[in-house]
This record gives sequence, structure tokens and C-alpha cells, in this order.
Amino acid sequence: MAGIYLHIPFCKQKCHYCNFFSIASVRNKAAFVDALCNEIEVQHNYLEKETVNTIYFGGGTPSMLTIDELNRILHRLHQYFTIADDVEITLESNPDDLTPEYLQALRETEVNRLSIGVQSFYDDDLTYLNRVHSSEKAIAAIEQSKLAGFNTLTFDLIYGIPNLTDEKWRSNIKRFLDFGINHLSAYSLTIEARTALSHLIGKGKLPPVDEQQSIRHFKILIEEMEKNGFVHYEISNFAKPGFYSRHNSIYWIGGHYLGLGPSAHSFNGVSRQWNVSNLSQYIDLKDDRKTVFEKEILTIDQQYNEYVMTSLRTTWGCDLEHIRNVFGSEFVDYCLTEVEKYIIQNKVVRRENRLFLTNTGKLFADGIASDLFRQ
Amino acid sequence: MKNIRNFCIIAHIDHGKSTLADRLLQFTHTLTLREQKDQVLDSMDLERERGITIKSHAIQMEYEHEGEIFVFNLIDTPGHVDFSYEVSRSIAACEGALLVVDATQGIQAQTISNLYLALNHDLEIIPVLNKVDMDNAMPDEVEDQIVELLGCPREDIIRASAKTGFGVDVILEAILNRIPAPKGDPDAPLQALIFDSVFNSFRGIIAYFRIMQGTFSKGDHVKFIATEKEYYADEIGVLKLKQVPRKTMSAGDVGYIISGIKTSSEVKVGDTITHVSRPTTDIVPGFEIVKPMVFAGIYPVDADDYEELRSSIEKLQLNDASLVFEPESSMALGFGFRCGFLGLLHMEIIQERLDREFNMDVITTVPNVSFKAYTTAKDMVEVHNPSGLPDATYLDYIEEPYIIAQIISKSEYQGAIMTLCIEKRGVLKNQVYLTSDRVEITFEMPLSEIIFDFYDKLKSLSRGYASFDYHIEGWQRANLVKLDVLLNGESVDALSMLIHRDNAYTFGRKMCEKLQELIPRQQFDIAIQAAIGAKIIARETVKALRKDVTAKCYGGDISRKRKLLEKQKKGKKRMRQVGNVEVPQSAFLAILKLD
Repeated sequence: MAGIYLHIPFCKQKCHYCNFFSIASVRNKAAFVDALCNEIEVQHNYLEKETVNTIYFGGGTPSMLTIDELNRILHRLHQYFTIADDVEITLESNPDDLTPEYLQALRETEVNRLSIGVQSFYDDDLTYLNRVHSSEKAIAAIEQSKLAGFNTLTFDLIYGIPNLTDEKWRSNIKRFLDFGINHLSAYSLTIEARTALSHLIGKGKLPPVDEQQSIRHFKILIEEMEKNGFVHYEISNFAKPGFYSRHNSIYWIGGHYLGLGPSAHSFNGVSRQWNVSNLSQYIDLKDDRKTVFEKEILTIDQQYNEYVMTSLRTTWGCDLEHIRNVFGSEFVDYCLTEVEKYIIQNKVVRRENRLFLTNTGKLFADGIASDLFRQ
Repeated sequence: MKNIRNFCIIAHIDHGKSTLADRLLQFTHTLTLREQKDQVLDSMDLERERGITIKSHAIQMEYEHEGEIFVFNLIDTPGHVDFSYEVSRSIAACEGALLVVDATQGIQAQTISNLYLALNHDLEIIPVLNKVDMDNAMPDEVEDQIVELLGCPREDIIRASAKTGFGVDVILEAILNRIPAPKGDPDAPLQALIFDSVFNSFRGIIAYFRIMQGTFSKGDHVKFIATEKEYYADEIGVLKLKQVPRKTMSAGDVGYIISGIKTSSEVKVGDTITHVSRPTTDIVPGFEIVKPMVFAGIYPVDADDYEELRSSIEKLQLNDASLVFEPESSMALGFGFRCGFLGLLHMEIIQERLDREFNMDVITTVPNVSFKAYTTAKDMVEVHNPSGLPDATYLDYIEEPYIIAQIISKSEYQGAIMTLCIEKRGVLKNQVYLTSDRVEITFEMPLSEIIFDFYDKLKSLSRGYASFDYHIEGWQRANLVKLDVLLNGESVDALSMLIHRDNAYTFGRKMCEKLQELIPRQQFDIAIQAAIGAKIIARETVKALRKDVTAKCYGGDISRKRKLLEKQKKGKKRMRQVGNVEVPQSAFLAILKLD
């Protein structure tokens, strides 16, 4: 399993909570696409001829690409990589870009999975988050996407927003379920450092996030989704069986991926590298056919740490047999010693030689993972 | 003997003592410029970095005057309050002293207390006004202070700049002409004063002495009177840049003796050396056994390093007999050592040397002073640790050490300083105006009160102007209680302290507040309580952490998140377990940082 991630760093406006690399101007879009096509060529050996099973356009707002630009990039990928016949190609989108015309044209491309940034069906929440679209637009976009023939759709929702009462949150979940869509990413609102939201809350201009409320919302979410036949396959992701995001799963099971575009991360099992988070520097690089990134080589302990950290978050759990095969039995013994107190506290369960977080344990995934770390 | 001059330099920290010493060595050709590392006398790195001389040393120079060679012995003195006894012994080995005062700063508390020591020993004082080349020098004003203090004629004061070398020739001449040659009878029974010792890994403990009476030869069978130990003098000699062996030395000479001494406790500063066959009847007066006054637990961060910590402390002790230690154990911190120090600076130095010279990662507990506990059976127990206090049913009363504190400051800060000292249970003993705007204030106060944030407060309320010196005065009855800290009901022995009853409530409350800041949220509520006996006097709660999970974990998040969790893991590993509560190391020193 290998995947390619493409970072499209343009937005109409910055959402207050977002700390991804993006720019609220499309002035350099054409030059960016050139640079991206160049990087595809430069990095064509990164995956060492592994077949590419997933392609993911993230951002930023990839739906700001024209159909021509999308096709040009996809064509370029085919030129330099071996792409599987059943490749999953996801495009992240903003509801107000998804006009019937755009959707119809998009349907003609290879894109076969559409991710829609709904976030909430309440306009006051969208205002708090500084989203560019309205709830009405979101509903229209979903309906149009289905009409256009996109069967594999996913939504983003955010919970823990100060004005989002438990009732409103239940109602957001219900709206999602009513659309009959098979995948949901639901994120607890997180105040990242150096974001507008953190600044505004710090100044007292916006109300802060209430931890207890987030916990309640998380519990409501798990309960409702499980009731409706969804698998909680990662901390923030739910899907009907067979509709898991194949691309994101690569991140969690230690698969290899190539990241293209500014700030994108790549990983080949042993080393990780990430591109410069600066659009003009990224564009300038196309002339000398190089790309600039920082790189880290992971020690065996760090590889183990990453495996524990990501696998514990998933429905597949942390596979002790995998640890034994890849890292050695000493790592298994260590892991079992460290995890014992969490098993006693019923935060972790061990089944079939795998460790899984219980629903309570999911609230403490980071602390538990860090306790199992080696150093 | 008439060609010998023995002298020391009295100065406040940073007033230029070490620089001046270097100049004297250079002007007498004792060392060439090439040999001259800055401040030769401060041989430990730590000393050089801090710009202070921690342990005294001695060096001999030759000064030529009108064709005649004179021997100058400079006996260096440590420059901090914790080492005042060592200073007094160095002074006792001299006939004269250079009183170095910084022309930009004027006389400081420490200068005065060491000056009094010198005057008590009838030393000839040569006042030197240093740093006169600096733009902000106030030579006339500081000369006024010196004249006022010494009652000397103004023209006796030598203006100099150790940095540029200005006035150094005048100082050398004054040493020759104004300091008297030593007196003493070479034929009298041997009486030599030990004023310092150093450890050498090949030759054992080397003692530095000044011969007051008699003659000392290599191979002599000698006795150290206080320790009653006898040795053969394997080697004696004088202290130049290197040790230079001599066959015979006599009254007035300063030198060293090597006699295969293995432990530093056998050489007591202030002890008298004499011959076994023809002993002196007089010891050099002023000998004391210095007792550590401040105690703290030192524990290895990693419990496996216990033995290594022991051997490190043992090595430090070879060089520093004033450091004492004994094993102790704590519920919270495991196995470690109770160490006794002369004072707070001494404690800091030991901590730093453990870190730098031995690479030891240690946790130091809240320091406390030495107490005397009297039982109902009229026994006296010295208490170095709150847990060592006799049971309340047998305890009659406790005594704590008192100090005389001298503070010199600009008079505008007088009010604030008095308030601080009175808060610290001080009683005003005296106040003297040294000049119209400089005041010397003398307080009697408990030593325990200066352990916690006294220096820092004094410095900040006087904008760094106040200088402070103290000496132990005696013991007084104290109304002390044992204050315990409990985490989820479990007493944390390493945080217990003996404290004056009047301060216990405020302290307990502040302690709980500080710990609430320092103990990270865990997966359950943590009750922090301060208690006197069974009575809870303060309480704070660290709320449980109910959620510890990040929402997003995609390709771009993994590296950053792993690093963050690795850092947390590292932090957790350094924490100590008290019951089910994980306590960071910073909490064990919280008490030192209370407002």
C-alpha cells in the first residue's frame, strides 16, 4: 500500500481554527500547478516503483483547482507513477465551490471520492469558525454531489464549539445520517497555537472551549454512530464497513506515502521529510528542478513509538505480533509491562494479541501512547 | 625572617581581588604573561566562571628592592559569608592585608566584616582604591568612606587599577614598607597554623601552613594537635606556581606538608602542627570545629545512580572537609544522602560541582537548618531533618541557630530592608550611618529565615545595592511546628519542614498553591493539603485530566505529535511517585520559590 498526498494551499479565507499551511489568494495558482507538476517528476523514484493505491488532494481548498488543472496533475502522476486500477482518489472541497457545473465536470475526472467540509449545519457555528459557506450552501452541495453521481462521499463535522449545545450536536449527527452517507470525520474543536481562534479567545473576544462539553459530544457521537452501524475505525473517523478512507489508513498502519506541494510530508518506513511551508519558495524551486525539504531518519525506538501512537487510535489496534516481527520481542515485553495499569483501569483491552483502546481509553489516547513509548 | 611579608587581600565579590593578585604575580615576575591565565588563583572552573574564589590558596613571590630580595606570601581568602571561619584562619596567618574597595561601588558589608576580622588580628591594613580608571568611579566619595571606616590619613589610600596595572608598583612598595616582617622564634618549639588543605590524587591531602614559632624540617615526626594524629613529614616546601620542596623552614614561612594523609577530615583548618618530641605548649588561638548549619537531602534522579552519587560526594569531600553527609531514605525520593553545608552558597556550589564534574543528575530537597531538640528526659538531639524530630510526647523544646546579620545599603532602602528583616523575625541591634547616604544595619535573626528567598528579596528591594553578611551567634528557643504536605492523603516526607508557628498558616497555604501550579493534571483529582499534626490547615485540588487526545493524526501531524509525546514521556520518567500521584522534581524545591 502506498499513497500520494497533494497539498493545494489556497483558500478564499482562513478559518479561525486552522493551522494548516494555506494562503487566501489565488494569484500564484498557475505557477503553483507548474511547480507541483515539476515536483511529481523530481520525486518519481520516492516510492521505489510501489504501486500507488490512493491519491489525496488536501489543503487548503483543493476544490479551488479548475478541472483542467486537476486533469493536468492527474495526467502527470500517471506519467511518472504506477497507479493501481482501483485507485482511490479523494478531493477535499468547500461547499460553495460545489456548483452543479463543477460537480458534473468533476465526475468526468478520475476523482472518485469527495470530502465536503460541512463542519456544522448551524450558521452561528460557521461564523464562530469563520467558514466561508453557509449551512444552506452545505446542504445544497451534498444534494448536488449525490445527484452528480458521487457515491463515495464523506463529511467533516466539528464538535465542542461553544455555541453547539448537546441538542444541536445530536441534530448535526442526525442530519448527517439522514443523507445516507457512509463516512464521517468528526473533530473535537482544538485551539492550535498561533491561530486566529487562539488569539481571539486569549483576548476574550470569543468564548473558550469547554472540555466537559467536548467529552459529552464525543460520547454522544460514539453512541449515535455505533447505533447506526458505523465502525469507529479511528479516533476521529467513522465508516460503514468497506468505506474506510484507504488513504488515511496508510498513515495509521505505517504505510508509505509521498507528499507533494508546500508543507507536505513524505514517509518511506525509515525516514520522513517535509517540504518548505512557503509558497513562493516552493514555486521558485521549479526552475532548478529540485525540491527543498527537511528530513529525519527514525531510530528503531521512534519507529516503534509512531506505530504505537497511530495504531492504538484505530479499530485494528496495536498488533503485538507486528511489533515482535518488526522490532523484536523485547519491545513486546516492554509494551506489555507499560500497558498493564491501563488494562487494570479498563482503558485498554487485549484481544487476540492486539491492544485496543476502550471507549474511555479513547479520551486518553495521547497519554497512554506516551506511556508506552520507548526512549 | 626580616625579608618575609605575609599578607592577604580583603575585598567584596567583583571588587577586583583576583585581578589584582594576578598583577602582583606579573609585576614580581612570578609568572610571565604567557603563563598567565586570567585569575590564576581561582583554579576551579566554577570559581573562574563565577568570578569568586571559593577555596583559599597561597602563593609566594619574590620582590627585589635596592638589590635585596624579599619574599611575599599572598594568602588568598574565600570571598563569601559561608566561609568566614576559613577567612579568619587565613587572616591569622598574615601580618598585613590589602583592603580593596571598588571605586565605583564603595564599601560593602562583606568588606567590613572581613576588615573587622583583620583588625582583631592586629593586621596592618593597606587601603587600595581599585577601578579608578572606570568612568563611573567616585574616588573622592569612596575615599571618604574608607577614611571614616579606618580612621587613616587620606594619603595612606592607594589609587589603583588592577585591570591596567596602574598603582601596582606603589602597592608592592607599601607591602614591603608598611607591613611588618613576621615575628617568631626559630628556636622555640614548633607551632604552625594550618590555614587550608587540598586533595591531590597521587599524594593525598596536602596541608598549607604558616610557621608561627620554631623550625620545621623534612622527615620530622609531627603531631596535629586537635586531631591528635601523628605523621612523618614526607615533604615540606613553599608554594610557588608549583610546589617547591625545601629541607628546612622556620618561623614566618608559609608552605605545605605532604605526609600521606588519606582523608580530608584529618586536616582541620585552624589546627596547630607541632613536633612529637618537643611539643609546643600553646596552640594557635581561634581553632574551631566548623559545623554545617544547613542541611538538605540529595537524591539521584535515577535510583540506579545511588552508588555513583555516593562515590561522587566522597570525592568532593576529599577537597572540602566542611561537606558532611550520611545516607538517608525518603518515601518519595528513595535512597539518597543528607548533606550538611556551611551555608546556601556552599550548597549551590556542591550541587553544581556534582553536575559539572561528575555529571550527576540530582534532586535536592528543601534545605533546613540544624536544630537542637531537647527531650523531657533532658537529652539533646541534633536534628538535621524534620523527620528526625523526637516524638511530640517526649519533646520538651527546640532551639534554632541565630545569626547576626549586617546589611549595608543606600539609606533610601533602609525602610524596606527593616520591614523585610522584621518579617523574617529579625530584631534590630544597631544602625550606623557610614556616610550621609550609606547605612549599616545590624539585625539578630534566625538562620532559618535567610534560607528562603532572603537574598533575592534583599537584592530586589534595594535594586541590587544592599550587601549582606552574617555570622552564627548562638541558639535560641523557638516555637516551631512540623508542617507536612499530603498528596491524596499521603504525606510527602521530602516536603516536610520545621517552621515557626506564626508562619505556618501562610506558608502552608502558599505551598499548596505553588504545588497546584507545579503538579500536572493526572487522570484523577489530586488533593494537596498542608497539615500540622492531624490538623489540615490548607488545601488545593489539581483537577483530573478528563481528556488527553488530539483530534487529527494524519501524515503531516505524526512527526510533531510523536516528538511532543516523547517529551511528555521524558518528563514523566523524571517524576517521582507519591502514592498514585506523579510529582515533578520542581515541586520538591517549590518552597524556595514562594512569593
